Amino acid sequence: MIPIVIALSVLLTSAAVVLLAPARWSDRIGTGGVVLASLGGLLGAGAFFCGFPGRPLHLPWPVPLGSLRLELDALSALFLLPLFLVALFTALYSPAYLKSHGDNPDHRSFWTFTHLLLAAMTLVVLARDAVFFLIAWETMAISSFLLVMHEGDRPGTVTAGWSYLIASQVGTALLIVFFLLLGQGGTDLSFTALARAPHRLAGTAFLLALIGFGTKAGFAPLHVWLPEAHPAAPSPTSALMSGVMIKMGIYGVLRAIVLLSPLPSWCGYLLIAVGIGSGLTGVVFALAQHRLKRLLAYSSVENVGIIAIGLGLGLVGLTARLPVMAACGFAGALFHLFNHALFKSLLFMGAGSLLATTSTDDLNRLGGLLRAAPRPGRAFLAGALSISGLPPFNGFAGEFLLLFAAFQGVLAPAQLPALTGLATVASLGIIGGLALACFSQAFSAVCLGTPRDGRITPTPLPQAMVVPMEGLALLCLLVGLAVPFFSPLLAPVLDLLGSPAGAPPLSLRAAPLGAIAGVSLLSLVLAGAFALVRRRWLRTRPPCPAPVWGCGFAAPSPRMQTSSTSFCAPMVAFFSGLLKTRRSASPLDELYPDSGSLATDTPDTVQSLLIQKPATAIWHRISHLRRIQSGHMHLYILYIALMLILLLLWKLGGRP
Amino acid sequence: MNPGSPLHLLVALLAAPLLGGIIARIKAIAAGRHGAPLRQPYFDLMRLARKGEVRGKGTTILFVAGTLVTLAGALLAIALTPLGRFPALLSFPGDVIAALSVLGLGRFFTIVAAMDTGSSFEGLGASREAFFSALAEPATFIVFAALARATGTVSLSGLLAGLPPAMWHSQAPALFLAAAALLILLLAENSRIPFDDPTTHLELTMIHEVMVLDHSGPGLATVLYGAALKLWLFTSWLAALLVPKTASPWIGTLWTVGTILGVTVLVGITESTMARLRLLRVPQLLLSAAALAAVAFLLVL
Repeated sequence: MIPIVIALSVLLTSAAVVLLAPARWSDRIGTGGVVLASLGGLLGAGAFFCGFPGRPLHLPWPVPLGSLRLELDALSALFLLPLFLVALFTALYSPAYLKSHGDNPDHRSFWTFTHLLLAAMTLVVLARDAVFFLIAWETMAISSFLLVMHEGDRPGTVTAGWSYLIASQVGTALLIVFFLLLGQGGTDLSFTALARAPHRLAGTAFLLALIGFGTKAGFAPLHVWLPEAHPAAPSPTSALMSGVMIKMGIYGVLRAIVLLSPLPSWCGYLLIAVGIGSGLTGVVFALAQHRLKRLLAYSSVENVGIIAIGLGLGLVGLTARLPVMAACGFAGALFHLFNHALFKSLLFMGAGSLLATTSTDDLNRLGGLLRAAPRPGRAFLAGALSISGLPPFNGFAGEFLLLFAAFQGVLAPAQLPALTGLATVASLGIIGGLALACFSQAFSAVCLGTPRDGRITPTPLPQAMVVPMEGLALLCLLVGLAVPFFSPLLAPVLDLLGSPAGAPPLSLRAAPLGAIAGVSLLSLVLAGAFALVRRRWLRTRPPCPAPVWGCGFAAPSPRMQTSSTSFCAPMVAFFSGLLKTRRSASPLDELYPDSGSLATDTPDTVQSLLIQKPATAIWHRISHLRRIQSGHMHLYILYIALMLILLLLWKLGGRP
Repeated sequence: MNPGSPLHLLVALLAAPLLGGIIARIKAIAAGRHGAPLRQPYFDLMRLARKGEVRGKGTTILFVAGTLVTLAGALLAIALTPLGRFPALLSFPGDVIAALSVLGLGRFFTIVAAMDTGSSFEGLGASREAFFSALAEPATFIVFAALARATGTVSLSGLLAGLPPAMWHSQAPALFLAAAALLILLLAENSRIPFDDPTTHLELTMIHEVMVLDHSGPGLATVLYGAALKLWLFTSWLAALLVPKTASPWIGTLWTVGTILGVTVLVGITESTMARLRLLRVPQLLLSAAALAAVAFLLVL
């Protein structure tokens, strides 16, 4: 606990120091502050797992209904690990990125808000009081909003920022109701009191939490802000937001599960349905994108969907008394969450590096970067393999656990868990297959072939941007090979989630963690061995270079290569019921045609159908209410007086 | 470890190219020709392995890595699959997930290697492969979920160790549907007719073959051998589903190998009698495989 409190104070101090110091020092102070704080935070979380939890902190606080309670439990410690790991790598990456890409030469506000965002996220996972939690939650939302607006003079950034802020405020409004409902009119809103109170409305409260926290996490159809905000934000911020901040929504759902347990049995099934919906929506929309950062944002929707599926499997396992399914479901969700933090921030850094070297993230214009910049290219490949859930990287381990949990459901004697297991197995199958298509395509479009747009001339990437990416890529591989060592990290959380109501204890003993790592290692060793054999076999026969087969066409040009859009076209056509891709083409149809062109754009159908249309309709209905807002101060005072009198009368009348 | 466990890997490594020879021979006979000897795929592999290699200009290390990783994936999947009643070389609960994942790894690298050439034809094939495999994935998972439900285990060595004969009496419709779905998946994943025609001469209509157009010499040999192993893998899954449990493991294994050859003959007959589907029809057939498997699951529920 003490190292984490020190980390918090470092973050808050350096947030202030960056603002006061000259602008040319801001990068050094900012990076230094985050690195110090991250080391402290990792130390604190590590100490917890080594058996030194530290005492909870309870300080006097003059805010009504609130109290400043901080406590480190298994769930908090588990969320602090990815938080500070990603913070460390993004902080090392940021200075070079800001220098090579940003339009805004003054980085002071960037660093201040980054520090505030990190401190707020730390407080969110440590807070044990509803009012304090909400304050930390709002600080997190506002500081990340300000980070999204860092490059506010670019077109689209302001709209993206507003859409994020509105979504975030709607979510928080529901969370306030959620906590008030839990508090049941009492004045003690500490989490211990909330957990003690009997929950007659546990189902309603869970729904509120799911929508409120789900807005932040990005469950479909509440995900609409993600594909706007992530591309607009600076890439290190996107990495931090997508890698860590949206996971705070998952943290909230988990905390609600702990506070509300035992939950009604439909909650688990609802979570699975939400997860499948998000996973499919996310991956299908990701396929239709040709801007890398937008694609990555949709893939985050997919991945929080996968995490929600895992949580749902865990809950179903708990209520159906299937301890192995529950343990593997929860563990798979948490492990996938940790992994996603690593590989998604790696991929966002990759997108940032693209912006820095080529000034575009349009997949249809790029190509050949693996030869121009082999090191970041390889790191990007590692990220693409991880996110596709393939051995030997970490994504494989998490998705294996989730599928394993679903298969446990398939074996269950009761029919409902079995059918749920079947639906989950099939959905994870198609989500995984489409994610593989999406990321093999994205990697190929960026790194292989030759640039589709001849005007693109990559500039060399500074070491300071390459090394953090390589570090994360290495971490993805190591985590994939060291799966069994994560069992002691997950076990205390499983105790926390499975403990109440005499449920059977959850343990990961039935999960083949060692075998997962073994398969990963074997695939690596086998491929390496084949490579050695091949090299020996071909020792005396160097390959002879020749042009690739182009069906005999004499004048191939780089623009004839398969582009991202053409790769995905059959899939986009197949899902055209969901995707409303707009095509604007000037076809080549005369005998001597001019140059033709084709542009596609896939807007978010969910946004227009579920948000924009109802909002416009409501706006038109209630616009005549604006008449009471006349702009005359004395009328407003009259309203206040009338309201006070009404309340007074109501209070008097209500008294017997 | 069971002394019979390494047997599958050994048999598969030696006999996998034979399956291609059988299919080619049956197609030749159906066309009224005598056809190449059954050993022809072995001759082809040896000939290719002794040659030098032509590398496409502008390709990276991934072009070669694609062939090696695909081979490694197919080999690992076979190591996870039992032959007859002998458990697999590697077996643990949930190994079915691992087997499908290593196949996915191979697919990822095949796609990437095809895109590495920058040729628009290979990209075309890669796009189709990615799409059709994504649709085949849930169907495969549903087939194995149905088998897991029927046998009560999630390990390939339990799932495929031979079903008790009583089950073929009581659950015959479900097992038949699962076998039909698995046969469709076998044809789809191994680029056989009606999904893909490996011997066509028009690149525009190919799926798998067009992705590996630019490989030559030992690289092409690796690709062909990997494809042969994958075909063996899928036929061995189908054969294990069809052969009931026998008293002696050796006789059971012989039966399984016999059934593998039988399934190959069936694939050859399908190839000789059917035309390739239009590409637009392929997703529908894959979805119907998923539907068949789902019905099989409901029947064993």
